[in-house]
Amino acid sequence: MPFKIFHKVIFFTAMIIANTSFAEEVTNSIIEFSPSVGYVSFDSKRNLDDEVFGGMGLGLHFSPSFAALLHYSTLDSELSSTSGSANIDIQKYHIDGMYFFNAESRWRPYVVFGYGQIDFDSDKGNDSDENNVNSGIGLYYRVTPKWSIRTDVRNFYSLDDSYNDQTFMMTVGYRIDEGERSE
Amino acid sequence: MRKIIYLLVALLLSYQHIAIAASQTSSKDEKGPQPENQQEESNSSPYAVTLWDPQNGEDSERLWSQTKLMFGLGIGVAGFIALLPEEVSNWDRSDDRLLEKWWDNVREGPVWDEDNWAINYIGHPYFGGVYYQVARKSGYSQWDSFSYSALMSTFYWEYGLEAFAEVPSIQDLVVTPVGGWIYGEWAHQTEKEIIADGGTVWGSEGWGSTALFLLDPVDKIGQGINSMFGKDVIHTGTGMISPNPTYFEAVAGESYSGYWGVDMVFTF
Repeated sequence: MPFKIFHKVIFFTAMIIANTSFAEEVTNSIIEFSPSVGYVSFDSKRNLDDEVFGGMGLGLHFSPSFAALLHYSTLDSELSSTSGSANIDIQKYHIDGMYFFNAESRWRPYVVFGYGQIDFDSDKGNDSDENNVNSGIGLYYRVTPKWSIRTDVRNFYSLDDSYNDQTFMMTVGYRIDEGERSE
Repeated sequence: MRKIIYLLVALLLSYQHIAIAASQTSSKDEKGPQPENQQEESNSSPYAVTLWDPQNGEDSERLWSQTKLMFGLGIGVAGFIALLPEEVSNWDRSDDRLLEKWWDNVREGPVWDEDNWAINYIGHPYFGGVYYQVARKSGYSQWDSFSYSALMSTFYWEYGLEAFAEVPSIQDLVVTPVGGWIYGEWAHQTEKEIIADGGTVWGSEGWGSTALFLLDPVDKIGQGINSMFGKDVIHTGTGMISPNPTYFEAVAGESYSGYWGVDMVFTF
């Protein structure tokens, strides 16, 4: 991941945190684990089969309106080309910032922006990786202070090769300790 | 000869643990972790970091002292190795000088590493928890302690010592302080609760002693020895699990990925 972009992401996140208001002392209940499943539709120019993926996120909900998470997912796909096919082991990771609207409600539409990388490991030995940015929209539902579910659609744009991949993802969020507190 | 050097380096680096040990064993009343200072009502953001400007009676001198000790020992060990003959240290100075290697690694990262999952998701949170407790047991809030852990794991470890050996890792930058927050706060609160309960668990002193021992084994050994002699024979003591000691890779250029160890350090 390019040094400068990563640090811009961190700086931007820090600026948002610095301006975030929160009624009480911060505790580790802002930490979230978030297993997810999704479906990725690769850019047709890649010649990769679309597949289901599983993932895991870890991050912080700085307020009911803003969260930052690191997300990792993995899947297997197949590359079809004129020279034959190959199995591709794919790993994706990205750091995302999520902004939730209507944060006082259980139902919260949100927008998400992120930056990350996708690694392709081929059983034929042709490995590669790409940096990408992602953006999308979603809907969050707070089930209990500790549990939530959300779903979003995103576009991942490859900065290196200008591919556009789309994902649909469903996530279960688990907040530790007492979870989200009412302000 | 090289093994002796590695052993010396390991011992010297283990001394860094004393900094941590001191924070764990020399809490203000020497009887375990203190109730953290409650943040006073104020208009400032709860995300404000007050590590350098304590607002509620936190022991910043103690925190700074432990931090200096950790940095000093790390730099001292690196300097000591740099002065050794190349055939002894095995540090390749010919084509990849130390500082250049560090800068190359810093510039290249951070990257997604492919270390063993236990190192990334057990080892790193554990060390994050150790940093966390250094601040927490000095009376700092959870957010300050998390911030301290994030700063130490990022600049002292990932972009500091470990960057001499490998490119900083994205997972480590996130998992170490966040996982350390979870583990460190749990260990801190659990120890406090047991002590507040008179050292008992489920009404049993035996279970209480066992739990306190498991939370900080060497500290409890030290306390036991002091109790036996009736005076402070051991000033500080701590123990740490050491998965895949990176400093071996840094100084030897060899990987010990199958290595797990337990360090115990006492000062008399």
